[in-house]
Amino acid sequence: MEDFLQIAGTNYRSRLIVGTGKYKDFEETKRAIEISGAEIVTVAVRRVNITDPNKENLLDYLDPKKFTILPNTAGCYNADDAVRTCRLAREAGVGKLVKLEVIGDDRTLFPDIPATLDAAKILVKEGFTVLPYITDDPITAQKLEDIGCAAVMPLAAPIGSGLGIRNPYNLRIILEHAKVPVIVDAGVGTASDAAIALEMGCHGVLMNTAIASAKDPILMAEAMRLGVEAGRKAYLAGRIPRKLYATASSPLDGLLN
Amino acid sequence: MRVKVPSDANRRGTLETVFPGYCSVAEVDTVFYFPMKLRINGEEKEIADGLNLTSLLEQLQIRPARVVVERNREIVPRESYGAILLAEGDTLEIVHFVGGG
Repeated sequence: MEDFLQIAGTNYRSRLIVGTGKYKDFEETKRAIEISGAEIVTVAVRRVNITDPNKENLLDYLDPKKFTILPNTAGCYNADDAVRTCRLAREAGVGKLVKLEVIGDDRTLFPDIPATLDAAKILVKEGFTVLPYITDDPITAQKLEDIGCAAVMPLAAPIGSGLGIRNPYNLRIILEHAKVPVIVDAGVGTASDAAIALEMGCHGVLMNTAIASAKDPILMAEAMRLGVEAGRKAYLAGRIPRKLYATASSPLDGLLN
Repeated sequence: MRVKVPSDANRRGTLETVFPGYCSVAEVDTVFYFPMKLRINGEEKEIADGLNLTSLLEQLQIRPARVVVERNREIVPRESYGAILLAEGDTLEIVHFVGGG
């Protein structure tokens, strides 16, 4: 049976979405992303350095024909800036998918939810496919789904913290109600964190730091691919219930006595 | 040869009246131009007036295919770069994709 992550009618084989920040160079970025198996990669929109315009561009290494480019609005602290960034990104001609993040505070990088809702309304109206980064709050997830976002992306823990899923119960509530994909975005530290997200039934996981800042980013990218695959398969297979006492695996019949 | 006309010169009139010293520098192929101040990515830049966006990007050695340009808060579609004449006081933002999460 084929198993896809479906976002706004498009099927993706990989449930791992990866960022492109913090790598040593573009070559390492490319290698890590290739081994991660990710089909969707996030990028940021920034000013070109006009005094020293770098001849190389990220897109020279990540062919937009091969990867789905997901521009983010990282660094935006209000709805206007986020919308402006999305419009600029769309003009680059890589599609209408955007990762909406409106940051509320630079210490926690938690999202500003009212501003996220405002920006989402405008962007959906303008025809963007909006994937919003949110706190793990079921009410916010519901509101963004009602606005027309194509997925919701609750954080596992603060961006770059590597703490893993801090509130699995909230995620479970979000999952129970959501009719759009739930993608865990931010806070994953290692492959088991990714596996847990998928085992719980999350539809995908988005990460950057956990791979790019690992001692060996290439090996971690592979570990994440396997973690996501293992978690998804375990979810589909259906885990056994947790029990307090033992149940023997070997038959009790035919014992010598 | 390109010669910048002093920015305090009166822009109306013949070359003699706006730039009295031109005879001493002029050659057959001399192009006189007025400097024009723009704000590009937050930095003040002086360029020749009458420049269009395509030539500006060329001067800055920026590949148009990899950037998006916003002029005075309005996105300029790539196909009209050649038709966009820049004007004194324009604010440009030239952005591209960089690594991010």
